[in-house]
Amino acid sequence: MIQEIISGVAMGCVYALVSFGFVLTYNAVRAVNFAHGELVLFGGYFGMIATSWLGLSLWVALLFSLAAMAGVGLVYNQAAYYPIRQRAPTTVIIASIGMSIFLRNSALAIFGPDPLKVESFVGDGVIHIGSAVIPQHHLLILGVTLALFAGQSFFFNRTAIGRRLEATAQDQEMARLMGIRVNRMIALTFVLSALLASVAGFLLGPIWFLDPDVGMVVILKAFIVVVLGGFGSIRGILVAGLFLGVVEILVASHLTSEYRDVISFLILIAVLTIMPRGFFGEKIAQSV
Amino acid sequence: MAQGIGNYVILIVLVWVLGFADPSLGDIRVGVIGSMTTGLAQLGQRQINSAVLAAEEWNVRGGISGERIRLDVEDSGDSTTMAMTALDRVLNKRVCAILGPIYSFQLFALFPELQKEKIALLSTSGTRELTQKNSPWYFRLYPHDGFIKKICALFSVDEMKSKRPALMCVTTEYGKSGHEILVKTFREKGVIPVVETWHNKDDRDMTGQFMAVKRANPDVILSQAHPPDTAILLKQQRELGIRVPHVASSAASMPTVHDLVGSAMEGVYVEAAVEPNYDTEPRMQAWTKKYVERFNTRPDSFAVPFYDAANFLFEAIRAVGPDRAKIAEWLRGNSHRGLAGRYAFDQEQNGAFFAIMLQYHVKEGRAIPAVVKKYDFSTK
Repeated sequence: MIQEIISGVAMGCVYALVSFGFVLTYNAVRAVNFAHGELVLFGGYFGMIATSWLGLSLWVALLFSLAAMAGVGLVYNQAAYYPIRQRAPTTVIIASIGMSIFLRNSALAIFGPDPLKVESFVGDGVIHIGSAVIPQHHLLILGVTLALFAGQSFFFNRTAIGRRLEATAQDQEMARLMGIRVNRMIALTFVLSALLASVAGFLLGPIWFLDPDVGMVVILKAFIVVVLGGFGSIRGILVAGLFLGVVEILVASHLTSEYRDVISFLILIAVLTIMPRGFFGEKIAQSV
Repeated sequence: MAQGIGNYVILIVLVWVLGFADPSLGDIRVGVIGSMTTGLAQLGQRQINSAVLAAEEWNVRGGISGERIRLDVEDSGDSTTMAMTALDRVLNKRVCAILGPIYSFQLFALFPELQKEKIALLSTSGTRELTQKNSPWYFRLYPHDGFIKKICALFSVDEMKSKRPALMCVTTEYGKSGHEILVKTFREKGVIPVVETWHNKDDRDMTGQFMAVKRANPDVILSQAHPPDTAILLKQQRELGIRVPHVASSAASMPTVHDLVGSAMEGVYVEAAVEPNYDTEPRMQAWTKKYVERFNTRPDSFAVPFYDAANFLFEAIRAVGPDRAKIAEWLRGNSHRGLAGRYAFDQEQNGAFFAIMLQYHVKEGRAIPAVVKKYDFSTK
């Protein structure tokens, strides 16, 4: 049981990390970004380019990926959000689906269909605690996730730029009246979201591998986590991510691996029946 | 005046012939359907490469009876819809036969149209049920699961002396077909699997499945999975410290999987039809070298039978011409000695009855296979 919980927590951290950038964009533009999975994928691919193609060290590769993804975030904002920002949220959602398809096929054309691997900062080693085995990379995922979630609390509550972003997310019109440059804040949100995708891609690459379809797997999990946590809630996605990660592994291990996803979804429905707003969120009917 | 009009008519006819007529008129057209996009392209593209290589070799030698072989290649992506569209496209080009996709879920969808058009399709899928649908137009040139999974189970029991096997299968048609054969063969040998786990082909974590396996305390693990999930299975087994021999399906013979898995390939047994990258036969080595030079990628164990399938088909066309029914009839009655082995179709139109069991050892960071057992039940 300890092994399942440890692995479930690691997997939950991955889900939460991926969902983080997804929620940031949602809070800023009130529309889900279905291309976020592909942004995570490209975050990992840029890391792979830096290490395998350019021969750079992992730390330099991370900086390379962050810089590249910041650019991708800006371009994404200019190409797929800014021109249609006055339209209904459904238009923005459809544009994000279009971007998802574009990025996925670009990945296929550039990197090919074969799964690729990004090296881990901590190698392939494991740590034994009693009968449980913890890959060192899982500990890295846990540490980075907790640090990022703690950091976001400080950033959004204690810094001027964070407060402006928070104000923009809460009410764009009011933020504009307060002198905040809303479009600039939204562009910054897309950049932040892409940076988080870069980190997530780096952490996912060594364990999930990178292929053009990974983005779809990622976004499905992120969407479940966001719904379960409560649409828009940052702390909700951390709790929901951990919940989903642990439940999936416990079901596969002790109940049935064949119907693992079915049971996981049934649990999701049961939770939403009892808590329609998710763990920490507003009513889903108002959000989608 | 009349002569002037006549000259104009001749000119118009010439312009039409030179400008509008199909430039491929006189070519022998063969359809090739495979996944060129989506995650499934990792198998599909290598197979298409094989067909291209075979056609180029025939054309260098003068084609078939002086006519060039022209391949009409279409993408079947990762869905039945795309496969159906690809089939329609090649049929519109009036091809005389088709080299088809490897994925059984796409092949099943193509069968009614093949029947309607009365055109032969050759492919290298392993799914047992494909040749149990009584389609006279489908020809398989890869050892099917009923044969190769039986070998895996027999190898586990007879060579590894397994009494407590664990099965880890993917929930696709391929996984279920393989699972069925494994269970049946084990039962025939008086062995009952101690645990059976399932995963989806997109699953990226198998910890839950491995914990169930660990509790059952098996003496061997047999997996039936596609390349990405095979890589995750092998890697996670190693990480979780489950030191039980693993007999993996042919996906584990792919160079891509070795790159992902690294040292976790040590000691892994893999079933395959052939292993082109480490085969010591000079003919295979020359072919692999040529393939790598031409396409800048290493072939896998599915690329060789597809190359053989293309050559078998071109031989049929040479023998009977581009007549759809005659090609199928000729294939049924003849055999072909290919790179991987000898192909001859049984009543269900399964054409390959040879396989090898490999064991990989990691040397200087590279997974090197050694053939531990050869099986060949081809009719001599």
